[in-house]
Amino acid sequence: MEIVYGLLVCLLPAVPACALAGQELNDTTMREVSVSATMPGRNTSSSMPVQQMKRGEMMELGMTDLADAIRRMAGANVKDYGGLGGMKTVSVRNMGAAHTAVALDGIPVSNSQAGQIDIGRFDIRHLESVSLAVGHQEDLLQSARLLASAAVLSLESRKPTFLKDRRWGLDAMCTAGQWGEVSPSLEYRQRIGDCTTLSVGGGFARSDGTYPYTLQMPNSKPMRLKRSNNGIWQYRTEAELRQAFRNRGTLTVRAYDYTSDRELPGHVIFHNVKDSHESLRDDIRFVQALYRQNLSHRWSIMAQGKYNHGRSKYRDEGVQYAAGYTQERYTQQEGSVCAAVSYRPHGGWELALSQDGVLSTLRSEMKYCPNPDRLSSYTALSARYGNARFRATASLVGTVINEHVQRDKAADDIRHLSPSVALRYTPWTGIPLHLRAMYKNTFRPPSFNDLYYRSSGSLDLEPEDAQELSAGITFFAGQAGSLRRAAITADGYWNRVENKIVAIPTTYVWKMRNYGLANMSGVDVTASATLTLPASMYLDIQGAYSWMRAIDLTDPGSKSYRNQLPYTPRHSGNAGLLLHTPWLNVGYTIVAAGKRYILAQNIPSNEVEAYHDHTLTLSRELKMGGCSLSVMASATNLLDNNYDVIRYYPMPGRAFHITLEFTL
Amino acid sequence: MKEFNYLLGATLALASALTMSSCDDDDINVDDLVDTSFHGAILVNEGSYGNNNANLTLYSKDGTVSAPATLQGMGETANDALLASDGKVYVAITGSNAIAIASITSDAVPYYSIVNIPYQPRYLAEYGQWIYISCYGGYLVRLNKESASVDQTIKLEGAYNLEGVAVMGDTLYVCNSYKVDEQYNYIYLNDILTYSLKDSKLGPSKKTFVNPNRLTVMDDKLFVLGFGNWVDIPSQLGLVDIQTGETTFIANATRMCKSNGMLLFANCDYVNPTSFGMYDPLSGQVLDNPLPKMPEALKTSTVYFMSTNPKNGETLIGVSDYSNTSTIYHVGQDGTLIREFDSKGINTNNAIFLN
Repeated sequence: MEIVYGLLVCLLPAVPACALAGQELNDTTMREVSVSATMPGRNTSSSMPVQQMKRGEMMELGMTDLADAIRRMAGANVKDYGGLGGMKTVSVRNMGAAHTAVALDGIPVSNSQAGQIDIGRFDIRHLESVSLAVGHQEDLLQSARLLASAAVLSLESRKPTFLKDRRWGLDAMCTAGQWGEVSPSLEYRQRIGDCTTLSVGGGFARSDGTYPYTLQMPNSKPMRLKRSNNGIWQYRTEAELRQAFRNRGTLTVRAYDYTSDRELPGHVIFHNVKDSHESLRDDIRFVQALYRQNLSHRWSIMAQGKYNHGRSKYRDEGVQYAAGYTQERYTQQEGSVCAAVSYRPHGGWELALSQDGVLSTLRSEMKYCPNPDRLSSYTALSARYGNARFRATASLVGTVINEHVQRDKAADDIRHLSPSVALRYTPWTGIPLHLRAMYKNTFRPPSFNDLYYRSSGSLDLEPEDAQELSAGITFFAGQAGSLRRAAITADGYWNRVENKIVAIPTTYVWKMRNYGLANMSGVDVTASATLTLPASMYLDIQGAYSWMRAIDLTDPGSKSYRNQLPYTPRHSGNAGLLLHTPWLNVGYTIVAAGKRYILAQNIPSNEVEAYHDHTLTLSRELKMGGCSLSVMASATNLLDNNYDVIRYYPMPGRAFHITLEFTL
Repeated sequence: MKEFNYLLGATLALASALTMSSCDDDDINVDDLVDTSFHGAILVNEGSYGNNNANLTLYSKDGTVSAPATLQGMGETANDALLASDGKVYVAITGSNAIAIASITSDAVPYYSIVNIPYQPRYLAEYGQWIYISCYGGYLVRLNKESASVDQTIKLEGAYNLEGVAVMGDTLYVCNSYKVDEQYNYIYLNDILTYSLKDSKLGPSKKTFVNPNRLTVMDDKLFVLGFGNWVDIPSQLGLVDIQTGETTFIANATRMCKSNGMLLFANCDYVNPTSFGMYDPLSGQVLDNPLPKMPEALKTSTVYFMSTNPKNGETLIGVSDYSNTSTIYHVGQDGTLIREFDSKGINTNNAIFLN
């Protein structure tokens, strides 16, 4: 077996630094090079389990949103409340959504109020790649806050590209679908000088969300109904400046403005299916900057800063409110800075120190809200040793969190040390088969809602504590006959989450308490391959399977003791085929999950049926002189299966979408 | 099951022969209508939020619990139920804006029908041919039992969110519990509203504990549970003087039921062990530890309902963790455990005794 890889890496030093600004193609500085090798991706080369999907793959497989992409990753559990506007959160290996950090271009996205991120606001059409790492990404030069998380969902925004030697570019895109879905966007890119690019863009998305579904109530005939109060209107504007310096430094500055108005349909209620009048408006604005520089072949630095301003307004109407309506308004602000330095002394060693400082505030006119401020410090010391066959990475993150409130009492300060270690061993030189193992101890602090929300908040909460153990094997094969490439990963894991923060009832009022203890064990397997076919065709095949046993160990006397945790399928997986032909690309995917339980007690009445969701996609890119037009048509939920991810939040049935993308 | 159905049918036939009676939320014990032996009970399971899993299950004398398929998935939160004089069980299903009318007879498969009402129902009381339903928004809805339809909707002046309701004589008492302002702040009230059922007029309201939620009538006495503000005002049990409108504090309590001519109450404050007490309406004395032989587990459980069989003094005490199916302790008069069983429903909040 002939395996050649690494050529691309060797080519990089030949590229002048300024040409890296936005990864643009520059004919004057970069010769055309034919590369006939395939490189193993991070999926198989990383010490910690990482899965990555790139934009082309996501688009060609007809993925409609970020949640749709992530649920194809082994070990990821997406809670999807259905429709374009339905809340979507990601829990990795069932540790809880609050244990999954989300980063956009390497800078954390946070929500101190809720403690978890609704990923529904990110549009996959504007992302270059999505990767999900158990533990964290391997790069030591990163935010300490990300190193402190149990899992990291990394989103990379699209890099500006320019056709030929044009100094500007334009990308116009529009997706239209059923139930009033329209989402046009426009992005303009301009090269300013040799080392600077500026991108300005915006988009709009709307959907009525009035999709049909079938409701089967006990002892009655199935009813065909339509989802109501499920519309969404989103507006996004952003600008990005990328600057490459001659000192090998790169600076990326992004400004982002996002508004969404969502109707909240709530769950389907028997005998009263149209009763929801809830809505939620979110306004999120941020400015973030990231600077990286290789000072020498030994020293590298990274600095980042972010200011985020978020406002939310929840509104509901009904006779239960004295004025016929009520609303909750909150303002969150967060400023964060991070500085990191790495040093490669010699002999395969690399050391890094990363320091984050974060100030988060929550303000509200609500009487109960004490207007809390949280000052957090994350310090990470990391080390890596590697040679041809062995790589070890260790980090220790120290976290200090101080709480202040404008009135009443603040929660206690938090101090925590989070160690992690990851190993990768290659038994045979020249054969890209790796054994890997990791251990990580992390925590998640109580959110502002956990601590202060009305009478349910509890000041004496301890952080949740999570232990992760994982071990696996990866294999990558390059060109061999008609096989272009193949990759397989298999990882087994054992996790334990203690002091779980859960709502405990106290006669009609729920209180947040450290109560739960859960063990998760399982296996994640992924496989992918590319086959060369006759007539210039080739076929991408990918699949993933997860088996998970996630059990409640909180109370031996409880009826749910050792039962599978809610909404955790024992079996889940997906498979996809993408046939590339000179005329048309055809994609077909299946996502499936086994039965789940809505509550902790695993009894038949709590079961949610297994589901499988099929998507068929046809796409074609047309080149016309200096521009290109991509057309993609997809049918999601092709078999029109009526299913819920969260019970009584029905997912859309068969839907047709078409996307046009025009690039100049 | 068959035995249960026969007995149930006989009971309901007897019950339906009688007409007007006044009921509050605990008057589901048709103590004046049935003979003394305990044969079974209908368990009313509230369900858990968002899951449409309110249901009725049947506890028979032999200790078996059945969950007839026709009484499952009744809707969103069965908050209250009563056995009316027509022999049917009326269930207030709050989130579904509905009243389920269940028919459980000896010779047919049990079933229920749904009557949608304009507001979210909370508690039920029977008066003559009607079921009065307290609702959110300050509304009383009157359901005609014969036509199984709403024939009157009453907006009570000054009322916000109504909870417990009871009828004594020709007067209806209803808890005006709390209101929610434009900024989602809960403002707890302390009114018991009175409404004359004869001349359909609002009477003078009575000031009572904060956040009144439950009412129970024993003879000519009206008892109230005020749930407090969940922060620094605890849940309180009191006796309302319907003449003066004053409420006399009896004890801190979160649940109550009529029990052998007394008022049995329990207090779960989630700090101290669950405690029980008994109030003697004749002497006005409170007896501590009225169930000395009760299971130890009750001391550390959330008591969600208590209901005493009026004929033999045995009590069903349901506990809930709000997630799993409830555990019911069937205890004797001194608390001795007769049977512990699973209700096959979540948040069991009521038991309707039958012969």
